Amino acid sequence: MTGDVAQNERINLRLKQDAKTLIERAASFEGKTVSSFILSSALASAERTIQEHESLKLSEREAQRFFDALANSIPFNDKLTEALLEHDRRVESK
Amino acid sequence: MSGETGLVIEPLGLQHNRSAFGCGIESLDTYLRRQATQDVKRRISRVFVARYPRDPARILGYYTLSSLSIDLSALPAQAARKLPRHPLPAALIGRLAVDSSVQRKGIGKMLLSNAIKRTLAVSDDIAIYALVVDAIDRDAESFYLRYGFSLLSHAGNRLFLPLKSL
Repeated sequence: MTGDVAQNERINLRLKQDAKTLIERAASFEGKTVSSFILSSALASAERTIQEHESLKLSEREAQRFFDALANSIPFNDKLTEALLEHDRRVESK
Repeated sequence: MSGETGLVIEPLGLQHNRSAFGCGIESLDTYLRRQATQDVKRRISRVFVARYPRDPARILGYYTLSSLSIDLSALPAQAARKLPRHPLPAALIGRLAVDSSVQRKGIGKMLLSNAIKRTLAVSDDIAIYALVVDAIDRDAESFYLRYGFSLLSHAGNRLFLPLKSL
């Protein structure tokens, strides 16, 4: 987190005694407060989760297929070209 | 066949009646009812709905659009060298659905066309190389295949349409 932005938002959470003890131990190893330990761990995990969902990792075969398809310019097929023209006549896009 | 009735396609808003929408696939209805607004708020995806020009509340169909990066690190080095960027920016249509009462009127292809146009419009700033879709069933898959999408793998349900050549 950047230091100069006020941290005004709150998250309250309930947890079991043993989970709390575990987090307190881990935080003390890193010389962090419990809140800053929870926050930094959750942020790292959130980044990872978002990355996993937004990134599509292709296998070698898929990557090759994908690459080949994009290596040459492929025009849209007739049906799609027609649909795009119909869109221009028919749809008001806001 | 399409009777070519006019349509408005716009971002999902509070004026739209989400609970009346029914496309025949429960998960797509539930998504619109319960999750779509939150996803928009959290910027996980953008949601666009089609409606008749004179009926601001009734949702005829919708699609979701989000960004996606394609990880091509599995490519052999020779091909990988030709990539302009890595990972490659793409767009994802996660869901696309048309209300049961108005199916077979060409609304699905207008939603698809709208998604392509919006993606190409953004692509002036950041090159977007492909549009990826998740097909929910076989019918959806053949719908996308008709418009020139290719299967990404034979196992999965993902297809893609090249938008910009490398």
